[in-house]
This record gives sequence, structure tokens and C-alpha cells, in this order.
Amino acid sequence: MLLREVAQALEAEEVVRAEDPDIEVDSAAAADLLSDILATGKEQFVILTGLVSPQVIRTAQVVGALAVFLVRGKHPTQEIIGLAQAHGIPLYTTSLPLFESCVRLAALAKP
Amino acid sequence: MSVINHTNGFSVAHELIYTLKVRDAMSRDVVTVTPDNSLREVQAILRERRISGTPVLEDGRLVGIVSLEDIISALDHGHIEERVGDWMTTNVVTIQDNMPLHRAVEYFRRYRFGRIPVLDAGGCLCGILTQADIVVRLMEELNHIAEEAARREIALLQRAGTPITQGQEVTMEFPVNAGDFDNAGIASARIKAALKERGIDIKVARRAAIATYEAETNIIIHSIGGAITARIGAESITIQAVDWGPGIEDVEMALRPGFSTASELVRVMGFGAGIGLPNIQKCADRFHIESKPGSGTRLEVEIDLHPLVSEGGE
Repeated sequence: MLLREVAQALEAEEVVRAEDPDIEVDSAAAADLLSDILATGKEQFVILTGLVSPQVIRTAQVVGALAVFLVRGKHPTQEIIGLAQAHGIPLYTTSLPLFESCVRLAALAKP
Repeated sequence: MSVINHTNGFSVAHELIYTLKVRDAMSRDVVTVTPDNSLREVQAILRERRISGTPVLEDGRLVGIVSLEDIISALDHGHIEERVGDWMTTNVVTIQDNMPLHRAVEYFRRYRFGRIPVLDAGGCLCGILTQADIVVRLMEELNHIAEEAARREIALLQRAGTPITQGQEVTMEFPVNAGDFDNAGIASARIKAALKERGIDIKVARRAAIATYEAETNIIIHSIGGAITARIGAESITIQAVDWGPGIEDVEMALRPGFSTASELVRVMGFGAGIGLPNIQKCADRFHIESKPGSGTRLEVEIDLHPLVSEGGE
């Protein structure tokens, strides 16, 4: 699936623009615990989280996530937006809860 | 106006309408008419400039205001060819240019006007303010805050851990302060970038970055302060995380997945799940930790830069 398809499936609003919305996404790490995301062995993945803090962006940078989706209608602060811009990490928000987001992605991954 | 309705954005936007002044948001390029213009002329001006109202000036003094509603009413009642002076609103609510924006927001709420003429200290018309002007200004200001944060981050990344080269080895050192979550991740970002620059496999760079990041947050959360040192050699990278206390009671327990002494506050921030140390261990090819209560903790992680077997994900 492509990043823009993921964004579409999650009805997400793009807060920090993706340079390459056609990048291939293989998987997603969905967690509110950053350590869980840090422990993932996934590659070519996006982060889905309800946690809104600058550390989400730093974590995404460390693990090389392709994008961050903030779920449950959480909106990032301007500082978080700035961090995402500095690290070139596409940032999205969706009003969908975490579980519903995962269900949608599962459906998208297995047509 | 989702910008000022969201919980997180709200506090910032809220603060901004108290610090920004009316003159920071108003339009200075004000289209005005005189009492002797006809309402028909005003109708043409409003259409041409795509505005919904205009102040009326006589000898440079504000004497009234004409809005689109006045024009519609004039068309309805057949006085569109008559003088502005005979039909304008003369009881004009104005605002001072040095007032905070929240006052203007209050005015718009109370009077439901489309626009408010702005006067300077001398009582002369110096601008006009609409609700759209306020929204645009807030958007600009919010963007500015984000841009500042981006600039700060980039500057921080450039400044932190200046590499010192000695023969084949490069050393980078990063002080880490207790409780300083704002800078958590700077060392790992720099180390990851340094490895990428050397053409090291991205999976290896990622393991080094994750181990460093967990070590950084450990120092920030649990210690009274310390430092991260990375030594990049030809064959491996060694990451040392040293802190000055208080030390770990039971190191074996701390290495158990799920064991955590982190506070509720730290957990709310997404840390303290008790998998930090085990995660570091997982990323390391060689791992050593020593700690004593009362003194500090010393953690050393070595990662081979050119692993023989290709690494698979989980």
C-alpha cells in the first residue's frame, strides 16, 4: 500500500507534507508507548499513536518510520509540527480511534 | 477555524490573541469613500475590491460606515443613486490599534459586525479589521512558532556532539540532563546521521540509534544527569551511557522486560514500560552494565558495523 492510500483509508488530514506520498508502506506500528515502537523490528512502516509529544517525532526519526499518524482526533502542537518539519517526517491526524485505524489498514493491506 | 478550536492549538492561539495587537492583524490598505459618493458608486467599489463594507471619511475624519447590507437595502428601496452621507451608519464602533486582539474578538462577538475601523492614538483611521484578518494573522503566527521549532531543532542537531577524529576513530560526546525531555533524541539522531554519512547499513544505524535513544531517556528519567559518548571505529560503534547516580538497586531486575520504576508522569509521556534496557540489549552485539546504589550507572553497548549475516526484521 502507498502512503497516500494509508492517509486516505484513515481519512487523515496532512499536517506536515509528505515529500513522497507514493512511498510503499509495508506495515504499521500502533502503540501509545514509545518503547513499544522502539522495540519493533518492522521496516517501511508508519506509526499510529494517540500519544502527542515531541518524543513521538524523535522516536519516528530514530526507528526510521515513514510517517506518523495521530489518532483519536489528537492535534499536534506547533512545536511538534516544527520537529516533524525539521526531520522531514510526514505528520497526519485522523479522528479515527487506534483500533478502527488498525482495522482499516488491515483491510487495505489484504484486499 | 480548526486551528483555534483544537485543544492543543487552543492554548497557543488563546495566548496569541492576548499578546498580538489589533495593528498586527488589521489591513492597512483601507478603501474609503466620502459622504458625497453615491451608493451606486460604493456598490461598484465593493464589487471591484471584493469587500463587504467601507468607512466614510470627511476631511480625513471618520464620519460613518457603509456596508453591503446598506447597498442591498438601497437597491430594495430605490435610493441607490442617493448620497452616502444620507444613508450611512453614523454611530460607528471603532477600535484602537494598540488594543489586544482579544478585545476585537469580543467586539465581533458582541456587535456581529463584518468589519471594525481601526483608529490610531490621534483618532485617525489607520486600518480596518475583519474576523478573517484575525484568523490569517493567527495562522501566520502559529506557522511561525512551528518554523522556529524546526530551526531550533536543526541548529541543535548541527551543534550537538561535534565529532573529534583521532586516527580511524571518531568520538562524539553529548551531555544529558535529568528531566530534559526536550533534548531526548538529539544524541541518537546525531549518531544515526554520522553512521549514515559513513555509508553504514541503515539497519545497523537504526540499532545504534535505538540503543542510544533508550539510554538517553533512561538518564533523563532515572538519573541526576550524565552523558552519552559514541566512539565510531572501523569495525564497530561503542556507545557509553554514564550517569552520576542514584544507581540501580537490582540490575538483574531492571533487565527484566516489564519491570519499571518510572513515575506515572513519565508513563503518560509514553516511556517507562520497562522494556528500555531489554531493548538496548536486543540492539547490542555486546552489552555491559554496572551500577551501584549511591553511585552511578555505566552502560556500554557495542554494535558491529559490518555484520556478516544479513539481518532480518521480526
